[in-house]
Amino acid sequence: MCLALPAQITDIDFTTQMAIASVDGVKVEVSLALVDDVKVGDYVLVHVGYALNKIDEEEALKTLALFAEAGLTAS
Amino acid sequence: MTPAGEIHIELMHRAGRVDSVTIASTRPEAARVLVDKTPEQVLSMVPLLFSLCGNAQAYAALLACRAALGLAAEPVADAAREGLVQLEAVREHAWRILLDWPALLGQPADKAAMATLLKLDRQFKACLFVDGEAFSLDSRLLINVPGFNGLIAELTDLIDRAIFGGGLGRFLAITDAAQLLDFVAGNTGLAAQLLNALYQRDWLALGNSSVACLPELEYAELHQQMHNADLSAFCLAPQWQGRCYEATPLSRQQAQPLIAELQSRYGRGLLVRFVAVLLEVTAIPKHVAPPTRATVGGAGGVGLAQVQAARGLLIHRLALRQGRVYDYRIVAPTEWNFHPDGVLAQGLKALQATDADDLRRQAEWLIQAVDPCVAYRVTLHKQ
Repeated sequence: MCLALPAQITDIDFTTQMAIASVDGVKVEVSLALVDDVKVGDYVLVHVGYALNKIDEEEALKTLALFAEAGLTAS
Repeated sequence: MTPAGEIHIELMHRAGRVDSVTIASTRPEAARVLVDKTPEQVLSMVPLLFSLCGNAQAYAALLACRAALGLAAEPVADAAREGLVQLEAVREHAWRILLDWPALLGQPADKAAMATLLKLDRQFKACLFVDGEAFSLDSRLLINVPGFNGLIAELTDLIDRAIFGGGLGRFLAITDAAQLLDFVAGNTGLAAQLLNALYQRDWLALGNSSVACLPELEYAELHQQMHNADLSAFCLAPQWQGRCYEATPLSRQQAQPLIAELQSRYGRGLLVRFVAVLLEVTAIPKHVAPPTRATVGGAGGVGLAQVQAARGLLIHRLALRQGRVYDYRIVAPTEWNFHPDGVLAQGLKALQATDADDLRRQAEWLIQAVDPCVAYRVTLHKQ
Protein backbone atom coordinates (compact mmCIF):
# COMPACT_ATOMS: atom_id res chain seq x y z
CA MET A 1 0.00 0.00 0.00
CA CYS A 2 2.32 2.68 -1.20
CA LEU A 3 1.10 6.24 -1.10
CA ALA A 4 1.21 8.09 -4.41
CA LEU A 5 2.89 11.25 -3.25
CA PRO A 6 3.30 13.76 -6.08
CA ALA A 7 6.80 15.20 -6.31
CA GLN A 8 7.71 18.33 -8.21
CA ILE A 9 10.89 18.15 -10.29
CA THR A 10 13.28 20.95 -9.34
CA ASP A 11 16.47 19.97 -11.19
CA ILE A 12 17.41 17.50 -13.94
CA ASP A 13 20.75 16.01 -15.00
CA PHE A 14 19.93 14.75 -18.52
CA THR A 15 23.24 12.90 -18.90
CA THR A 16 22.44 10.57 -16.01
CA GLN A 17 18.61 10.73 -16.27
CA MET A 18 18.57 11.69 -12.58
CA ALA A 19 16.56 14.51 -11.06
CA ILE A 20 15.96 16.26 -7.77
CA ALA A 21 12.31 16.36 -6.73
CA SER A 22 10.52 17.97 -3.83
CA VAL A 23 8.10 15.74 -1.88
CA ASP A 24 6.27 17.65 0.82
CA GLY A 25 9.27 19.96 1.16
CA VAL A 26 11.75 17.06 1.33
CA LYS A 27 14.30 16.91 -1.50
CA VAL A 28 14.75 13.44 -2.96
CA GLU A 29 16.86 12.07 -5.83
CA VAL A 30 14.83 10.24 -8.46
CA SER A 31 15.62 8.37 -11.66
CA LEU A 32 13.73 9.52 -14.77
CA ALA A 33 14.61 6.31 -16.66
CA LEU A 34 11.02 5.02 -16.62
CA VAL A 35 9.25 8.18 -17.85
CA ASP A 36 9.43 10.35 -20.98
CA ASP A 37 9.50 14.10 -21.52
CA VAL A 38 9.83 15.28 -17.94
CA LYS A 39 10.97 18.86 -17.38
CA VAL A 40 11.64 21.07 -14.36
CA GLY A 41 8.34 22.07 -12.73
CA ASP A 42 6.51 18.86 -13.75
CA TYR A 43 4.89 16.63 -11.15
CA VAL A 44 5.67 12.91 -11.04
CA LEU A 45 4.69 10.03 -8.79
CA VAL A 46 7.76 8.60 -7.09
CA HIS A 47 8.36 5.07 -5.85
CA VAL A 48 11.61 3.94 -4.23
CA GLY A 49 13.81 6.28 -6.22
CA TYR A 50 12.04 6.11 -9.59
CA ALA A 51 9.54 8.51 -11.17
CA LEU A 52 6.67 6.18 -12.11
CA ASN A 53 4.62 8.53 -14.25
CA LYS A 54 4.01 12.17 -14.94
CA ILE A 55 0.77 13.67 -13.61
CA ASP A 56 -0.79 17.03 -14.42
CA GLU A 57 -0.51 19.87 -11.95
CA GLU A 58 -4.23 19.93 -11.17
CA GLU A 59 -4.23 16.25 -10.20
CA ALA A 60 -1.02 16.69 -8.19
CA LEU A 61 -2.36 19.63 -6.22
CA LYS A 62 -5.65 17.79 -5.61
CA THR A 63 -3.76 14.77 -4.26
CA LEU A 64 -1.47 16.90 -2.10
CA ALA A 65 -4.55 18.67 -0.67
CA LEU A 66 -6.02 15.25 0.24
CA PHE A 67 -2.88 14.22 2.08
CA ALA A 68 -2.68 17.58 3.87
CA GLU A 69 -6.36 17.30 4.89
CA ALA A 70 -5.64 13.92 6.46
CA GLY A 71 -2.57 15.29 8.24
CA LEU A 72 -0.26 12.99 6.28
CA THR A 73 1.86 15.86 4.98
CA ALA A 74 3.15 19.04 6.56
CA SER A 75 1.91 21.43 3.89
CA MET B 1 12.13 9.79 4.69
CA THR B 2 9.00 10.92 2.84
CA PRO B 3 5.45 10.92 4.28
CA ALA B 4 4.91 7.52 2.56
CA GLY B 5 6.84 6.01 5.49
CA GLU B 6 9.05 2.95 5.47
CA ILE B 7 9.70 -0.41 7.09
CA HIS B 8 12.71 -0.63 9.37
CA ILE B 9 14.13 -4.11 9.89
CA GLU B 10 16.69 -4.62 12.64
CA LEU B 11 18.70 -7.80 13.10
CA MET B 12 20.50 -8.51 16.36
CA HIS B 13 23.22 -11.09 15.61
CA ARG B 14 26.36 -12.82 16.85
CA ALA B 15 28.87 -13.49 14.05
CA GLY B 16 26.12 -13.81 11.46
CA ARG B 17 23.72 -15.88 13.61
CA VAL B 18 20.46 -14.01 14.24
CA ASP B 19 19.37 -13.70 17.88
CA SER B 20 16.31 -11.54 17.34
CA VAL B 21 14.48 -9.51 14.72
CA THR B 22 12.54 -6.26 15.05
CA ILE B 23 10.26 -5.01 12.28
CA ALA B 24 8.71 -1.56 12.66
CA SER B 25 6.62 0.40 10.18
CA THR B 26 6.19 4.16 9.96
CA ARG B 27 3.57 3.90 7.23
CA PRO B 28 0.59 6.18 7.81
CA GLU B 29 -2.98 4.91 7.95
CA ALA B 30 -3.89 6.46 4.61
CA ALA B 31 -7.51 5.27 4.63
CA ARG B 32 -8.42 7.94 7.15
CA VAL B 33 -8.38 10.45 4.30
CA LEU B 34 -11.54 8.71 3.01
CA VAL B 35 -13.60 9.35 6.17
CA ASP B 36 -16.61 11.64 5.75
CA LYS B 37 -16.59 11.25 1.95
CA THR B 38 -19.39 9.88 -0.22
CA PRO B 39 -18.82 6.56 -2.04
CA GLU B 40 -18.47 8.48 -5.31
CA GLN B 41 -15.79 10.70 -3.77
CA VAL B 42 -14.02 7.63 -2.33
CA LEU B 43 -13.85 6.05 -5.77
CA SER B 44 -12.43 9.19 -7.36
CA MET B 45 -9.86 9.59 -4.55
CA VAL B 46 -8.51 6.04 -4.19
CA PRO B 47 -6.70 6.01 -7.58
CA LEU B 48 -4.99 9.26 -6.58
CA LEU B 49 -3.79 7.90 -3.24
CA PHE B 50 -1.93 4.75 -4.25
CA SER B 51 0.89 4.53 -6.79
CA LEU B 52 1.40 0.78 -6.53
CA CYS B 53 -1.41 -1.73 -6.96
CA GLY B 54 -3.71 1.13 -7.94
CA ASN B 55 -6.07 -1.21 -9.81
CA ALA B 56 -6.32 -3.62 -6.86
CA GLN B 57 -6.95 -0.75 -4.45
CA ALA B 58 -9.55 0.82 -6.73
CA TYR B 59 -11.29 -2.53 -7.36
CA ALA B 60 -11.42 -3.37 -3.63
CA ALA B 61 -12.85 0.10 -2.94
CA LEU B 62 -15.46 -0.33 -5.68
CA LEU B 63 -16.54 -3.75 -4.37
CA ALA B 64 -16.72 -2.48 -0.78
CA CYS B 65 -18.71 0.64 -1.78
CA ARG B 66 -21.11 -1.42 -3.89
CA ALA B 67 -21.66 -3.87 -1.04
CA ALA B 68 -22.24 -1.08 1.50
CA LEU B 69 -24.75 0.54 -0.85
CA GLY B 70 -26.49 -2.78 -1.53
CA LEU B 71 -25.83 -2.53 -5.29
CA ALA B 72 -25.83 -5.61 -7.51
CA ALA B 73 -22.65 -7.23 -8.84
CA GLU B 74 -21.59 -6.64 -12.46
CA PRO B 75 -20.26 -10.05 -13.57
CA VAL B 76 -18.91 -9.13 -17.00
CA ALA B 77 -17.40 -5.80 -15.98
CA ASP B 78 -15.97 -7.38 -12.84
CA ALA B 79 -14.29 -10.09 -14.92
CA ALA B 80 -12.63 -7.32 -16.94
CA ARG B 81 -11.61 -5.53 -13.72
CA GLU B 82 -10.14 -8.74 -12.32
CA GLY B 83 -8.11 -9.06 -15.53
CA LEU B 84 -6.76 -5.54 -14.94
CA VAL B 85 -5.82 -6.42 -11.36
CA GLN B 86 -3.95 -9.50 -12.56
CA LEU B 87 -2.12 -7.62 -15.29
CA GLU B 88 -1.12 -5.09 -12.67
CA ALA B 89 0.33 -7.98 -10.65
CA VAL B 90 2.56 -8.77 -13.65
CA ARG B 91 3.72 -5.15 -13.67
CA GLU B 92 4.44 -5.20 -9.93
CA HIS B 93 6.37 -8.48 -10.16
CA ALA B 94 8.24 -7.20 -13.20
CA TRP B 95 9.31 -4.17 -11.19
CA ARG B 96 11.11 -6.42 -8.71
CA ILE B 97 12.46 -8.73 -11.41
CA LEU B 98 13.79 -6.07 -13.80
CA LEU B 99 14.93 -3.42 -11.34
CA ASP B 100 15.81 -5.26 -8.11
CA TRP B 101 16.81 -8.82 -9.07
CA PRO B 102 19.76 -7.53 -11.21
CA ALA B 103 21.01 -5.65 -8.15
CA LEU B 104 21.04 -8.93 -6.19
CA LEU B 105 23.20 -10.37 -8.98
CA GLY B 106 25.49 -7.31 -9.12
CA GLN B 107 24.14 -6.24 -12.52
CA PRO B 108 22.56 -3.00 -13.77
CA ALA B 109 18.75 -2.78 -13.68
CA ASP B 110 16.87 -3.26 -16.96
CA LYS B 111 15.22 0.16 -16.91
CA ALA B 112 14.45 0.18 -20.64
CA ALA B 113 12.34 -2.99 -20.41
CA MET B 114 10.55 -1.69 -17.32
CA ALA B 115 9.78 1.63 -19.05
CA THR B 116 8.28 -0.28 -22.01
CA LEU B 117 6.24 -2.46 -19.68
CA LEU B 118 4.85 0.57 -17.81
CA LYS B 119 3.75 2.10 -21.14
CA LEU B 120 1.97 -1.12 -22.12
CA ASP B 121 0.32 -1.41 -18.72
CA ARG B 122 -1.23 2.06 -18.98
CA GLN B 123 -3.07 1.05 -22.17
CA PHE B 124 -5.02 -1.96 -20.89
CA LYS B 125 -7.81 0.01 -19.19
CA ALA B 126 -8.55 1.95 -22.35
CA CYS B 127 -9.06 -1.36 -24.20
CA LEU B 128 -11.80 -2.43 -21.77
CA PHE B 129 -13.70 0.61 -20.47
CA VAL B 130 -14.97 3.90 -21.92
CA ASP B 131 -12.33 6.59 -21.28
CA GLY B 132 -10.33 4.00 -19.33
CA GLU B 133 -12.69 4.57 -16.35
CA ALA B 134 -12.68 1.08 -14.91
CA PHE B 135 -13.41 1.52 -11.23
CA SER B 136 -16.32 3.94 -10.77
CA LEU B 137 -19.96 3.18 -9.99
CA ASP B 138 -20.95 4.22 -13.52
CA SER B 139 -18.06 2.67 -15.52
CA ARG B 140 -19.11 1.42 -18.96
CA LEU B 141 -17.53 -1.54 -20.71
CA LEU B 142 -16.18 -1.03 -24.22
CA ILE B 143 -14.05 -4.04 -25.08
CA ASN B 144 -11.53 -3.62 -27.87
CA VAL B 145 -10.58 -7.26 -28.39
CA PRO B 146 -7.90 -6.80 -31.10
CA GLY B 147 -6.31 -3.94 -29.15
CA PHE B 148 -6.31 -5.94 -25.92
CA ASN B 149 -4.91 -9.05 -27.57
CA GLY B 150 -2.22 -6.96 -29.27
CA LEU B 151 -1.11 -5.57 -25.90
CA ILE B 152 -1.04 -9.07 -24.40
CA ALA B 153 1.14 -10.26 -27.29
CA GLU B 154 3.55 -7.34 -26.77
CA LEU B 155 3.64 -8.01 -23.02
CA THR B 156 4.33 -11.70 -23.53
CA ASP B 157 7.13 -10.93 -25.99
CA LEU B 158 8.68 -8.44 -23.57
CA ILE B 159 8.57 -10.94 -20.69
CA ASP B 160 10.10 -13.61 -22.94
CA ARG B 161 13.01 -11.39 -23.98
CA ALA B 162 13.70 -9.43 -20.78
CA ILE B 163 13.13 -12.13 -18.14
CA PHE B 164 13.49 -15.53 -19.83
CA GLY B 165 16.14 -14.88 -22.50
CA GLY B 166 13.78 -16.23 -25.18
CA GLY B 167 13.01 -19.35 -23.14
CA LEU B 168 9.49 -18.51 -21.95
CA GLY B 169 7.95 -21.48 -23.78
CA ARG B 170 10.41 -23.81 -22.13
CA PHE B 171 9.77 -22.36 -18.69
CA LEU B 172 6.00 -22.74 -19.17
CA ALA B 173 6.48 -26.44 -19.96
CA ILE B 174 8.28 -27.17 -16.66
CA THR B 175 6.34 -29.56 -14.44
CA ASP B 176 8.91 -30.84 -11.94
CA ALA B 177 12.08 -29.94 -10.07
CA ALA B 178 14.38 -31.84 -12.48
CA GLN B 179 13.04 -29.88 -15.47
CA LEU B 180 13.47 -26.65 -13.53
CA LEU B 181 17.12 -27.49 -12.88
CA ASP B 182 17.61 -28.28 -16.61
CA PHE B 183 16.05 -24.95 -17.54
CA VAL B 184 18.25 -23.04 -15.08
CA ALA B 185 21.38 -24.76 -16.42
CA GLY B 186 20.53 -24.12 -20.06
CA ASN B 187 19.12 -20.58 -20.07
CA THR B 188 20.94 -17.25 -19.74
CA GLY B 189 17.93 -15.00 -19.00
CA LEU B 190 17.55 -13.00 -15.83
CA ALA B 191 15.19 -15.50 -14.18
CA ALA B 192 17.55 -18.42 -14.81
CA GLN B 193 20.53 -16.41 -13.56
CA LEU B 194 18.77 -15.61 -10.31
CA LEU B 195 17.64 -19.20 -9.73
CA ASN B 196 21.10 -20.45 -10.72
CA ALA B 197 22.63 -18.21 -8.04
CA LEU B 198 20.38 -19.92 -5.46
CA TYR B 199 21.57 -23.38 -6.59
CA GLN B 200 25.24 -22.27 -6.64
CA ARG B 201 25.08 -20.76 -3.14
CA ASP B 202 22.94 -23.56 -1.77
CA TRP B 203 20.32 -20.97 -0.78
CA LEU B 204 17.32 -22.98 -2.01
CA ALA B 205 15.82 -23.33 1.48
CA LEU B 206 17.18 -20.06 2.84
CA GLY B 207 14.66 -18.20 5.02
CA ASN B 208 12.35 -21.20 5.39
CA SER B 209 9.51 -20.33 7.71
CA SER B 210 6.80 -22.29 9.47
CA VAL B 211 4.28 -19.44 9.18
CA ALA B 212 1.35 -20.91 7.24
CA CYS B 213 -0.21 -19.42 4.13
CA LEU B 214 -3.38 -17.47 4.81
CA PRO B 215 -6.42 -19.62 4.01
CA GLU B 216 -9.32 -18.29 2.00
CA LEU B 217 -11.25 -16.06 4.40
CA GLU B 218 -15.03 -16.50 4.40
CA TYR B 219 -16.87 -13.20 4.23
CA ALA B 220 -18.98 -13.83 7.34
CA GLU B 221 -16.00 -14.83 9.48
CA LEU B 222 -13.85 -11.90 8.36
CA HIS B 223 -16.77 -9.52 8.87
CA GLN B 224 -17.24 -10.86 12.39
CA GLN B 225 -13.54 -10.62 13.25
CA MET B 226 -13.27 -7.05 11.96
CA HIS B 227 -16.52 -6.12 13.70
CA ASN B 228 -15.09 -7.21 17.05
CA ALA B 229 -11.46 -6.17 16.54
CA ASP B 230 -9.51 -3.07 17.44
CA LEU B 231 -9.41 -2.07 13.78
CA SER B 232 -6.36 0.19 14.00
CA ALA B 233 -4.36 -2.64 15.59
CA PHE B 234 -5.70 -5.17 13.07
CA CYS B 235 -4.79 -3.00 10.08
CA LEU B 236 -1.24 -2.42 11.37
CA ALA B 237 -0.46 -6.01 12.44
CA PRO B 238 -3.17 -8.40 11.25
CA GLN B 239 -3.57 -11.93 12.59
CA TRP B 240 -6.24 -14.51 11.84
CA GLN B 241 -7.66 -16.47 14.77
CA GLY B 242 -4.74 -15.37 16.93
CA ARG B 243 -1.99 -16.48 14.49
CA CYS B 244 0.30 -14.84 11.95
CA TYR B 245 -0.10 -15.90 8.31
CA GLU B 246 1.64 -15.08 5.08
CA ALA B 247 -0.30 -13.53 2.21
CA THR B 248 2.06 -13.68 -0.78
CA PRO B 249 2.16 -15.00 -4.36
CA LEU B 250 3.25 -18.29 -2.78
CA SER B 251 -0.09 -18.42 -0.91
CA ARG B 252 -1.82 -18.37 -4.33
CA GLN B 253 0.55 -20.75 -6.10
CA GLN B 254 1.12 -23.40 -3.42
CA ALA B 255 -1.27 -25.86 -5.07
CA GLN B 256 0.77 -25.89 -8.32
CA PRO B 257 2.50 -29.29 -8.66
CA LEU B 258 5.94 -27.71 -9.24
CA ILE B 259 5.56 -25.50 -6.16
CA ALA B 260 4.28 -28.40 -4.06
CA GLU B 261 7.31 -30.51 -5.05
CA LEU B 262 9.80 -27.70 -4.43
CA GLN B 263 8.15 -26.93 -1.11
CA SER B 264 8.36 -30.55 0.01
CA ARG B 265 12.11 -30.56 -0.80
CA TYR B 266 13.18 -27.08 0.32
CA GLY B 267 10.36 -25.72 2.48
CA ARG B 268 9.13 -22.18 2.02
CA GLY B 269 12.55 -20.71 1.32
CA LEU B 270 13.96 -18.52 -1.43
CA LEU B 271 13.61 -20.97 -4.35
CA VAL B 272 9.91 -21.63 -3.92
CA ARG B 273 9.18 -17.91 -3.44
CA PHE B 274 11.02 -16.76 -6.58
CA VAL B 275 9.51 -19.59 -8.66
CA ALA B 276 5.98 -18.67 -7.44
CA VAL B 277 6.50 -15.11 -8.69
CA LEU B 278 7.82 -16.35 -12.04
CA LEU B 279 4.81 -18.66 -12.42
CA GLU B 280 2.46 -15.69 -11.97
CA VAL B 281 4.37 -13.53 -14.44
CA THR B 282 4.15 -16.24 -17.08
CA ALA B 283 0.64 -17.57 -16.40
CA ILE B 284 -1.30 -14.30 -16.14
CA PRO B 285 -0.78 -13.00 -19.70
CA LYS B 286 -1.70 -16.47 -20.97
CA HIS B 287 -4.93 -16.84 -18.98
CA VAL B 288 -5.82 -13.27 -18.20
CA ALA B 289 -9.41 -13.77 -17.15
CA PRO B 290 -9.46 -16.75 -14.76
CA PRO B 291 -11.92 -16.81 -11.88
CA THR B 292 -10.82 -14.73 -8.95
CA ARG B 293 -10.89 -15.38 -5.26
CA ALA B 294 -12.23 -11.91 -4.61
CA THR B 295 -15.05 -12.19 -2.10
CA VAL B 296 -17.40 -9.44 -1.18
CA GLY B 297 -20.37 -8.83 1.02
CA GLY B 298 -22.19 -6.21 2.97
CA ALA B 299 -25.00 -5.49 5.34
CA GLY B 300 -26.27 -2.53 7.32
CA GLY B 301 -24.15 0.01 5.44
CA VAL B 302 -20.92 -1.95 5.93
CA GLY B 303 -19.04 -3.18 2.85
CA LEU B 304 -16.15 -5.61 2.93
CA ALA B 305 -14.04 -6.69 -0.05
CA GLN B 306 -11.08 -9.01 -0.54
CA VAL B 307 -8.96 -8.77 -3.70
CA GLN B 308 -5.80 -10.67 -4.62
CA ALA B 309 -3.27 -7.89 -5.29
CA ALA B 310 0.24 -8.56 -6.61
CA ARG B 311 1.81 -9.09 -3.19
CA GLY B 312 -1.14 -10.94 -1.64
CA LEU B 313 -4.55 -10.41 -0.07
CA LEU B 314 -5.85 -6.83 0.07
CA ILE B 315 -8.87 -6.06 2.30
CA HIS B 316 -11.03 -2.93 2.19
CA ARG B 317 -13.80 -2.38 4.74
CA LEU B 318 -15.99 0.69 4.99
CA ALA B 319 -18.97 1.73 7.07
CA LEU B 320 -21.48 4.29 5.77
CA ARG B 321 -23.74 6.56 7.84
CA GLN B 322 -26.16 8.96 6.13
CA GLY B 323 -24.48 8.29 2.80
CA ARG B 324 -20.95 9.16 3.95
CA VAL B 325 -18.00 7.10 5.10
CA TYR B 326 -17.94 6.81 8.88
CA ASP B 327 -15.04 4.38 9.00
CA TYR B 328 -12.64 3.12 6.29
CA ARG B 329 -9.96 0.49 6.80
CA ILE B 330 -7.42 -1.09 4.48
CA VAL B 331 -5.36 -4.18 5.29
CA ALA B 332 -2.53 -4.55 2.76
CA PRO B 333 -0.54 -7.78 2.23
CA THR B 334 2.64 -6.14 3.49
CA GLU B 335 1.01 -5.87 6.93
CA TRP B 336 0.55 -9.67 7.07
CA ASN B 337 3.97 -10.48 5.63
CA PHE B 338 6.00 -7.87 7.55
CA HIS B 339 4.13 -8.45 10.82
CA PRO B 340 6.66 -8.30 13.73
CA ASP B 341 6.14 -12.08 14.22
CA GLY B 342 5.21 -12.92 10.62
CA VAL B 343 6.77 -14.81 7.74
CA LEU B 344 9.67 -12.40 7.13
CA ALA B 345 10.55 -12.16 10.83
CA GLN B 346 10.55 -15.96 11.16
CA GLY B 347 12.54 -16.39 7.94
CA LEU B 348 15.15 -13.85 9.06
CA LYS B 349 15.55 -15.63 12.40
CA ALA B 350 16.34 -18.84 10.49
CA LEU B 351 19.26 -17.30 8.55
CA GLN B 352 22.67 -18.78 9.22
CA ALA B 353 25.40 -16.59 7.76
CA THR B 354 29.14 -16.76 8.11
CA ASP B 355 29.56 -13.10 9.06
CA ALA B 356 27.74 -9.77 9.11
CA ASP B 357 28.26 -9.07 5.38
CA ASP B 358 26.91 -12.49 4.44
CA LEU B 359 23.96 -11.99 6.80
CA ARG B 360 23.09 -8.65 5.20
CA ARG B 361 23.23 -10.24 1.74
CA GLN B 362 20.99 -13.13 2.78
CA ALA B 363 18.53 -10.74 4.45
CA GLU B 364 18.34 -8.59 1.29
CA TRP B 365 17.50 -11.63 -0.86
CA LEU B 366 14.81 -12.78 1.57
CA ILE B 367 13.23 -9.33 1.85
CA GLN B 368 13.14 -9.06 -1.95
CA ALA B 369 11.52 -12.51 -2.12
CA VAL B 370 8.78 -11.55 0.36
CA ASP B 371 8.55 -8.16 -1.41
CA PRO B 372 7.40 -5.16 0.64
CA CYS B 373 5.35 -2.52 -1.16
CA VAL B 374 7.23 0.37 0.43
CA ALA B 375 10.81 1.44 0.95
CA TYR B 376 12.66 -0.47 3.66
CA ARG B 377 15.86 -0.14 5.65
CA VAL B 378 17.93 -2.93 7.21
CA THR B 379 20.15 -2.35 10.25
CA LEU B 380 22.45 -4.96 11.75
CA HIS B 381 23.40 -4.82 15.43
CA LYS B 382 26.30 -6.94 16.66
CA GLN B 383 25.59 -8.47 20.09
